[in-house]
Amino acid sequence: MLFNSLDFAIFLPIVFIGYWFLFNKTLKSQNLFTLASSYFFYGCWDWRFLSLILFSTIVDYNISIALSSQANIIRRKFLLSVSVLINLGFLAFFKYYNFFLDNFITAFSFFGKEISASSLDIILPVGISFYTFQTLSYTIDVYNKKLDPIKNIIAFSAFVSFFPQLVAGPIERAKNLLPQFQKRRIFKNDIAIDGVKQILWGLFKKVVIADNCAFFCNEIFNNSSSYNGSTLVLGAILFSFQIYGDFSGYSDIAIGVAKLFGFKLMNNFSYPYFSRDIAEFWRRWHISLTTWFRDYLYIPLGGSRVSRVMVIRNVLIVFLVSGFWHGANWTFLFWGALNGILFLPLILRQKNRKNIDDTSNHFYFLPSFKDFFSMLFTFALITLCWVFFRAESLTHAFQYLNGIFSSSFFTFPLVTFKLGLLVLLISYMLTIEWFGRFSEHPLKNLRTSKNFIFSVSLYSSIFVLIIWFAGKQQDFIYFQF
Amino acid sequence: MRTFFVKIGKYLFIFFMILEIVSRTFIDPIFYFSLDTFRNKSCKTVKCILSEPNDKPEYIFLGSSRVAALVNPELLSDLTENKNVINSARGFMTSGIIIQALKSKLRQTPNFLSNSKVFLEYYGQGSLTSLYESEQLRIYESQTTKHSSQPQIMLPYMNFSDLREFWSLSSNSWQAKMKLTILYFSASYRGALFVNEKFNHADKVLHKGQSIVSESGAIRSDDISNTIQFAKTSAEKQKQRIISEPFLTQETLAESSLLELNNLVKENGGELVLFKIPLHSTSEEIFINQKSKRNSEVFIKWVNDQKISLIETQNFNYGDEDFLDVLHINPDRRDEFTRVFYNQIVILEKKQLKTSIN
Repeated sequence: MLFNSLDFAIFLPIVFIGYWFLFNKTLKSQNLFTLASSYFFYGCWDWRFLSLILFSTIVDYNISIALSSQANIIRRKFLLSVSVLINLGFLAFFKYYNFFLDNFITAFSFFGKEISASSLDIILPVGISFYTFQTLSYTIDVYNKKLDPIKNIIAFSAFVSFFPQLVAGPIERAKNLLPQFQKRRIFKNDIAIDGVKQILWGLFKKVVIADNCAFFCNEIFNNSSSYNGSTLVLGAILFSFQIYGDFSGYSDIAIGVAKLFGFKLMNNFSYPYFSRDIAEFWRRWHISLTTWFRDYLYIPLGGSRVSRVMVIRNVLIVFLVSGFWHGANWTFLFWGALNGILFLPLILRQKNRKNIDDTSNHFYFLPSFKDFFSMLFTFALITLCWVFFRAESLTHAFQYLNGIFSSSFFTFPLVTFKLGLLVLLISYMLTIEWFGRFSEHPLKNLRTSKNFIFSVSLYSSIFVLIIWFAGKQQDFIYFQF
Repeated sequence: MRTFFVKIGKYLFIFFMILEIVSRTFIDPIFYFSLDTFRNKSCKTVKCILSEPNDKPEYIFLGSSRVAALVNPELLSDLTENKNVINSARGFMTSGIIIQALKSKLRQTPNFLSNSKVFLEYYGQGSLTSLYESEQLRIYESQTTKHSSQPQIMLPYMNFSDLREFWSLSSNSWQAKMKLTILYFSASYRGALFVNEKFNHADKVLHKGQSIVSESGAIRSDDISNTIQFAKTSAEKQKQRIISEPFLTQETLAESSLLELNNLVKENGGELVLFKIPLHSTSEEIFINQKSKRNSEVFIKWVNDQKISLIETQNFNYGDEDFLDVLHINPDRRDEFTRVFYNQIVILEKKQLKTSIN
């Protein structure tokens, strides 16, 4: 059940009405109904994988309770290891088994040793990377005594499987989301209205920007050898907007839907393409994953309070693991490594927190020249990295880049009517985001939105653009992760 | 909670009103113009598009997308020294729509068909041979989800009383009827579908390895593999249907859609002419059986009794390789067929002139 599907358009109002009108009396009924709806939502993809979520939930619930009553450090470590092994074991099997097997065989054949092993036809359970990390963070927090374990299995199960963020995040921290399942939710008009606005904006980014960019990106990337350099640049730029529209659009819908049910999820994107350096980009892109790696990998490794060599090691480990988290392919590893390499100069020169403030917060309408060129340069670097993320293989990525940096770079790119319209639509998105950049989402506190005529025109235009210019329905990119 | 619903409702209402006004003012004229294949397509200016109704055609072609892909009306117009030629054939056209469209045009322009030749495709064992009662006001509907139903094709030829008749007379499912009704009443809905369709197919040039043939007839260059599959499945189904159906009889034809069409054309001063279209071997094979052969003989006899002229196009040489997608002839050969067809019209008209003199 995709967020941009008719099924979801029917599912959401039914669940909304059921939640607020029929199961609103007690906390238990609210949680039970949320859990049932979430399991139904997930079961629509493949009901067999519900058993995985259920197993993971039961294991982590019991281990966390056992951890709280256990003072012996060795036993505590053992319990944590069991949780980590089970969670990562599922992830490793479903996501990485074939990758490791294939590379193992290739490595042996390189040394002249032929081994035979057949890869398995494994279906990747949708959202496994997301809910695995969410439950892991809970157990680790309980182990570190940052969180008391919950003793309500319904609330905990609803937390693990909460449908708006189950399949593609944001990867919630138990500290933020779990307490919300322990308190009866009360309908708040302003929050619900804000949720609807955020859903509208998310839908626009997904169906208008991402799905239309996908049309060109698929064509250009799949036939990269037959396009000139400038068109390949265009393809890479469009992919930058596709992945942003796709993933941030999904996150906005997820956060907006959660607001309709009285939940506050963490922000996952904060206008990343207005970043002025790579460090700022990673503070604004997929925030829930970046902060997860910071809290549960980077800081435990020593963070930046160690020797320079160790800092380099830590940064590279985090980016490599982050790349590998995205998928079992060398392209993702390379993408992670490349981002790490681009990040290193900033952290080594201690300039990674230079741009900690909002972009151009002194200039509402236009950025300063310095900010503008910094944003442009950062975007160019990020776009270059996205080539590895989108390419089918490393060879394909290098061929693509080779095509860009050729003499045909200076020839005229592919120009079509639809492409022209798409550029206008992207400009529209960037304009709205620029003026709304100080808020959680651009429609939240857009200045002058108090003006009725302005707000009607704004929302009508978004609404009309969604209806008229929706691209052919595509799966969300991050569902594959 | 009430405030929430009121606010959302208020905004939705405003959005739909704005969309409805914009769609009725700006989209509808283009929408109806592009859907109405019975219009004179040489009319390209906004003034012409908005003005009602069309020039009276001298030659009008009816049928499926095969005919749309086969006959070039502009070339035929040139060959016949600027006769007004309309190729109104298109994909998913049904006999119900053809008859309804002609009725609708005759309502607007009573002499729409006077002295016109109306060319209808036929192949295999005939054309429009099923009972009119079951076919009237019927839109295309399939069991497969790919082309579920195509109500928009009927839309330009309907007024409110036609819509009421559609609900009572058409044999379509309630879902298809509902879809047409929503399309009829909501400009926002039809406008959205139309703009979205146009937008998503604006850049066919990107699809490499496929000809840009979308402008020629009804062939969709981005959908060729699906069309081939569709043609093969349809051929198999048609073959099974021929086996299960009873033999074609003079009695059946006396209640057929073809008779209804012929009467409509004749009563309004026109002449119905059937012409045989080239078929791919996949389609030809459907009719290679004794039953089809006998049905075909019954059909030809009935057509001759009704004094409906038949045009054979055997001078047009072709093979399977001349079909782009099993159903439609390759656009490269469209003009050639049109010239062959023109020669046949000249022969037919000379013959008719000779008969009338005698």
